[in-house]
Amino acid sequence: MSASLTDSLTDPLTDDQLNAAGGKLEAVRKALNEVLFGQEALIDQVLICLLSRGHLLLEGLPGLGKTELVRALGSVLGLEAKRIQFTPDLLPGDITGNPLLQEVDGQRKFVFQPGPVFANLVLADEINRASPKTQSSLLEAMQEHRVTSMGERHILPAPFFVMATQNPIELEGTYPLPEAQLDRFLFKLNIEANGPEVLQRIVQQRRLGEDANSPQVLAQGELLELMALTHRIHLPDVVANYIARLVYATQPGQSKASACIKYGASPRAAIGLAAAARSRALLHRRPNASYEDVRAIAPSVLQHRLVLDYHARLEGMTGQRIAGDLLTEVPAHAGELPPVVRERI
Amino acid sequence: MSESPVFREAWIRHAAVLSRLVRAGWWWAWFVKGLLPGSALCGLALLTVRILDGSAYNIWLLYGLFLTIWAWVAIRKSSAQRLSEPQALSRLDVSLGFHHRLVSAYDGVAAWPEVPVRVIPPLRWNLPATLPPAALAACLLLFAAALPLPAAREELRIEREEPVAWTETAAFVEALKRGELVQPEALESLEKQLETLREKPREEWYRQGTLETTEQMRQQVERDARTLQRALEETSALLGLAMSRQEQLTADMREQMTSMLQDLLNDLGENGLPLSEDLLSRLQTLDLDQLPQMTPEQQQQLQNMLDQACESMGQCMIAGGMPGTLDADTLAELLALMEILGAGGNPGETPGASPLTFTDQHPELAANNPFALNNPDMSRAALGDLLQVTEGEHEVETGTAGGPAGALGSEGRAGETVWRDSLLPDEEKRLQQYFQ
Repeated sequence: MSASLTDSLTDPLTDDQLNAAGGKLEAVRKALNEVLFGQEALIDQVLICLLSRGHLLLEGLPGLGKTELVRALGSVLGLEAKRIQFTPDLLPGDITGNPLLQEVDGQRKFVFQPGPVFANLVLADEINRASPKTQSSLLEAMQEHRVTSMGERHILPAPFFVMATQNPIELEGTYPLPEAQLDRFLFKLNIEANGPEVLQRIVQQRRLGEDANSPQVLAQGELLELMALTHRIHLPDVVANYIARLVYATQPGQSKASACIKYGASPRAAIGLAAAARSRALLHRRPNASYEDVRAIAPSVLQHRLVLDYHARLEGMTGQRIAGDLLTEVPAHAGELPPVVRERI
Repeated sequence: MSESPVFREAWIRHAAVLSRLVRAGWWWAWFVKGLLPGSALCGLALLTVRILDGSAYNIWLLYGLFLTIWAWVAIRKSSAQRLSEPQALSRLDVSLGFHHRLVSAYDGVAAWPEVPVRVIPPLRWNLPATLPPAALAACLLLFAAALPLPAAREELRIEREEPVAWTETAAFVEALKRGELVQPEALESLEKQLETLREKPREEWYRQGTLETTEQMRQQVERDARTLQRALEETSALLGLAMSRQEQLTADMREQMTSMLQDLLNDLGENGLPLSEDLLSRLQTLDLDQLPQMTPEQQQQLQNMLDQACESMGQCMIAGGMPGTLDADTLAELLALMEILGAGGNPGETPGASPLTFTDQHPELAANNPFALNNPDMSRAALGDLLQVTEGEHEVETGTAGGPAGALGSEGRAGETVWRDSLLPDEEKRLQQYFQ
C-alpha cells in the first residue's frame, strides 16, 4: 500500500487499496468496541475525525467513558497519549511548556521544556474549567501543530490530535470556549448514556479500578498512510455543491432554520465537512464521498459552530437540532425541480 | 478500473431521459403561465365576437399565433433550467443507492456499474399539478365557444341580413338583364354601387350613412325606372294612336306628335337607365310621316315590340319592388289627345271616354263581369290599405217601392253603376298592372 500511496496523491483509489484500508480501520473499530461498549456510532465518528486530521470535542456526563476512549485510542493506534486536567489555575505554560534557565556548556540559557501538548494524542479533560487565556494557548497547537516560546517554534509530533472533554452540568466556575477556539474542533460529539443491555455487559466485563487493555492494531505510520488516503477519495462536484449550500444555509436569513442563528458556520467548517465526508467514504470502502456521508457527519461538524441568538437559547434550541433542521430543509440535489415534476418516493 | 462504453452509454441515456423530463416540466411550467391568461382573453374575445355576430376565425388564428410564440418563449426560458448530466446521474445514484458511483464514473474515478434490468426514473410527472391548468384553459375556451346566447341575439342576427332595398335593386337589375331592356353599361354601374355597399362590414350595413346612401341609390333607380317605363308606355300609346288614326291626323297634330315622340326618345336614351341600343335605334329611325307607307303587319310588329317592352319593364319593376303606374300628367295628356281624336268616333272602335267622364256616349264598362283583383306586394302595405278585392255580390234590397211613409221611394243606380259597370280591357290591364 505504501508504494501505491506515494505514486500519486490524486489517482483514484483502487478496490484493493480501499479493501486494505477498510480492513485496517475495521480492526481498529473492533478493538475500540471491545473497550467502549455500545458506542459504535461514536467510535466511527472519532475515527472519521482522526482520519480527517481534526480535533474532537466530547461532551457528556462524567463516567461515560470519555477518558477511556482516548486512552484506548492511543493504545490501539500506537500513539503517545497525554492527559491534561484543566483547572482554573492552569497556566498556558503548563500546557505548551516553559523555558527554564539551565546551565549548558558552562553558560546559563533558557532551555524550552516541552509541555504535555507534545504528544500524538492530547486529552484536554474538562477544558472549559481553565481560563480563556489558558484555553487559547491551545489555538496555535491545534491549528498549526506547533508551539512558539520566546520566539522559538517547536513543532508538535505528527500525527497530533486534541481531544477535549467538557461537562454539560456543573457549569459554575467554567469558562465557555470562545468561538475561535470552538471552530478549531472538527467535531463535537455528545456521548449518550448507555442502555441496560450495554450496562450489563460493562458490569460483567469490567472491574472497578482496572484499566482495560487494548492491543495495538495499527502502527503510527499506517495511520498516517490512511490519513493520506483520504485525500484520494473523490469528492464529486454535486457533493461539494451540497456542502457549500448546506454551510451557506447556516448564515442568518439564508434558510428557515437559520432564523435563530446569530452567526453561521465558517468556510473552515465547509472544508472540515468535505474532509470528514471523504474519511467516512474511506471508512465504508468507497472511492468517493456522497450525500449520505455529508448527512451523517454534518451535525457533528456544524452544531458547535452555530452561534444562536438570545431567544433561541432561552427556548432551549441547540446547535444539533438546528443542524438537523438544516439537513431537512436544504435539498441534497442542486437545481430546483419544476412544480409539475416530483421525486418518486 | 474497467471502463465499459456500453454501460456508460446506457447510464447517460437514462440521465438524458431525466434531463428531458425536467426540461419538459419547466417548459410546461412556463407555458402554463401564458396559457391561462391567453385562454381567458381568447374566451372573452370569442364571447364578444359571438355577441356581435362577427367571425371567430381571426380570434382562433390570433390564439394559435399567441400559443406558438409563447411556446417558443417557454422553450427559451426552460433551456436555462435544464438538468446537467452529473445532476441527473446524481439523482439516479441516490435513487438506486449507488452512493454517487455513477457521478464518480462520469468523473472518471470509478468504473461504470452494470445497468439493472429495470431502472425506475427517480422523477415523474406530478399530474395533479400538471393537468388542472390545461383543463381550465380548455374549459374557458369551451365555455366561450359553446355558451348558449339569449334569443335576442338571434333576432339581432336576422337583422344583420342585407337591407331589403339592396336585394330588390339586385333583383331589378337581374330582371333588366334578362329582359335586355337597358344598356348593359348602366346595369354594370348599378351593380358596382351595390357591390360597394355590400363590401362594407356587416355592422355598418344599418348605420345612418349606409342607409342614407342606400335610400339615395334606391330613389335614383326608381326615378330612372319610372322614367323609362313612362317613356315606353307613352311611346307605345303615341304610336298606337298615330297608327290607328293616321288618316285623321292633321299636319299640326302630326308635328305635335313628332315633337312628343322626339321628347320621349330623348327620355329613353338619356335616362339613367337608357333603353337598349337595339330598341332605341329602331325607334329613332321611326318617322310618323312614313307610317302610312308601312304595312299593317309592320305596324303591328312595331306595336307588339313596344307593348312587350312595356310589359317586360313592368315585370322588372315588380321584381324590383317598384309597382308600376302611369304618370298622372301623362295620362291626362293622352286622354285629352284621345278625347280630341275620339270626337264623333265609333265607340266600338275606340276605348271610349273614361267611365267617369260625362259624355253623350254611354261607356261600355262591362260592369256585369266583375273579377277579383289582389295585390301581392306587401312591401309598402300600411294599416288601412286595400289589399284585396274579391268577386262578390252586394245585398241589394229588391223590394218594390210604396211602403209606408218615410220608406225608400227609389232604389237609385248611382252607386250601383260604379260597381256594376266593368272597365274596358285596356283599363283593366293597367289596373291589373297597378295591383300586381
